[in-house]
Amino acid sequence: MAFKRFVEVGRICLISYGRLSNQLCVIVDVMDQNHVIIDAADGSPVQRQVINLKRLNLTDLVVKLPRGCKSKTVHKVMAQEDVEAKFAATAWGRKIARQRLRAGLNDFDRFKVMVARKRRSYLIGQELGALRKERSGGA
Amino acid sequence: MTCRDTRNAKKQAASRAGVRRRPEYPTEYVRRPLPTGAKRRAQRQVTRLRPSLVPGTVVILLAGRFRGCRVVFLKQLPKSGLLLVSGPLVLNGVPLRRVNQAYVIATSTRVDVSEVDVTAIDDAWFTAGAAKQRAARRLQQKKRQAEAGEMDVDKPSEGRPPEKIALQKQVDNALLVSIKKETLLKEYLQSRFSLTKGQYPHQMKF
Amino acid sequence: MPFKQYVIVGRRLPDPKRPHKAADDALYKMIIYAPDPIKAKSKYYYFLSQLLKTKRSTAEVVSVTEVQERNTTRVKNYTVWLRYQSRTGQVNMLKEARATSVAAAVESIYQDMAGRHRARYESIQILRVQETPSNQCKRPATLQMIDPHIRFPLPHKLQRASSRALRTTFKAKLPVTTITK
Repeated sequence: MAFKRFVEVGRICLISYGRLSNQLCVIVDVMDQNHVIIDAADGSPVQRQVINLKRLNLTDLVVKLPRGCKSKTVHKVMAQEDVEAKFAATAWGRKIARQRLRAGLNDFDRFKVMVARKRRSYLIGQELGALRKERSGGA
Repeated sequence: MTCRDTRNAKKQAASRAGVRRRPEYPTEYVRRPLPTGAKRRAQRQVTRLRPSLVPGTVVILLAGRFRGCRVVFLKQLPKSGLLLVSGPLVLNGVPLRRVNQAYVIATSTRVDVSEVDVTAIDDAWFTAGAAKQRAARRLQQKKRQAEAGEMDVDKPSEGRPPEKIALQKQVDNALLVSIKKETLLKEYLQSRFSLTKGQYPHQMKF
Repeated sequence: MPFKQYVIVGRRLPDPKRPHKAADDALYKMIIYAPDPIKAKSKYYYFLSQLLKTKRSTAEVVSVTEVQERNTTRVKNYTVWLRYQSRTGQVNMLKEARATSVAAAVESIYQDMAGRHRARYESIQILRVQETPSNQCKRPATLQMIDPHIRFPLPHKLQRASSRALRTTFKAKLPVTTITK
């Protein structure tokens, strides 16, 4: 099976460790086998820095960047390509957004979620019961 | 006039009067009890509340027989600095009550309490008649002991005085008007708070 | 602890027993790579003793300045000339490192020397460090990283906990380290 995600200039990654975990970034330069230089979109808390590949998760997205380009160029390309939105549309992006949302809920919101969850399983149960009845009636 | 100027002026005045100021120390150690309890509280005037506690905040009670209940914080009682809360009684059985702010979690949910009138309630409101009630209860007990062996035909204890019940109702009704405006808020106040698997209170937002 | 670059200036202390010579006023300035100023000074005294007949009690350090490097987010190729005492004799070497600062390059060289040649900090002397343009690099390990279209997969990836607090000693499941994507 062929590899699909590579360490390369322009590869969009997620930081997997520490304060900046789950932040999007892009590889700007490759230092050695284990270290790359990353940068991020304008306004991101991620500063240009050397990072160990152990602390990065590669995503499917790639943008076109010249190797070792300036932060300004990175900001421009990230905005042009709308990387944030593209990643947010993926299953991985949706999962992270959901986790963030859930973590930020207050007590009342958690209660509302609980009620909604109960309602959903009640409705599913109702449907399932009806289907079962139909089936046994038909047989 | 600066501070030093004032001090100098005082010194000069003292020397004019022919008095030399000397530091005075007691020759023996005099025990003076430190101000405790009510006295110290009186000195401190008003207990400072957490900024998250503003009137109308839904708080979670953490101790006592109502632990886990979500109740509405109405106002701070000026003398004791305790929080005045109400369930409301009809929703979760928590009456008008005083709670220490250390024993609540303040949530970010707010209820509009601008229409709720609690000016009549202070610390004395809670303690008034308590001594009388206690005495009555004791008397009843004694009576019962005296008539031991017989069937207990005494009247049951009187419970809360009618004026307190009336005020509770008045407060609750005003509260319920604003509670009903928000969907599920009534059910939220009726339910109890508890932690489930994987929930850590220090990591949660309230 | 990360290595730093220090500029150390020192001199031989004047000896009242000896007649004063003009050469005695000379100050000796050296660039030393070390994790902290104390180790840097130690290295300085060692090199000074190689140059002059001095020891700690007959010399003094005048100033220790840490060099703050600029542009530490650009990858550079460094060539390092060094000399080390192996088990059999003195060896001179030229090594290349890719790093974002001189100090980081020297640190990686020390690591490399310890790993490949079992040479410790005490037995290594850094002679010269120079930034080298890509087209003048020699070592294949550097050259493969210089490739402008460099691209490689991560075939073995161990998912780590996202913070120290979430680390566990025991796992219910064996981790999957092969990347299928």
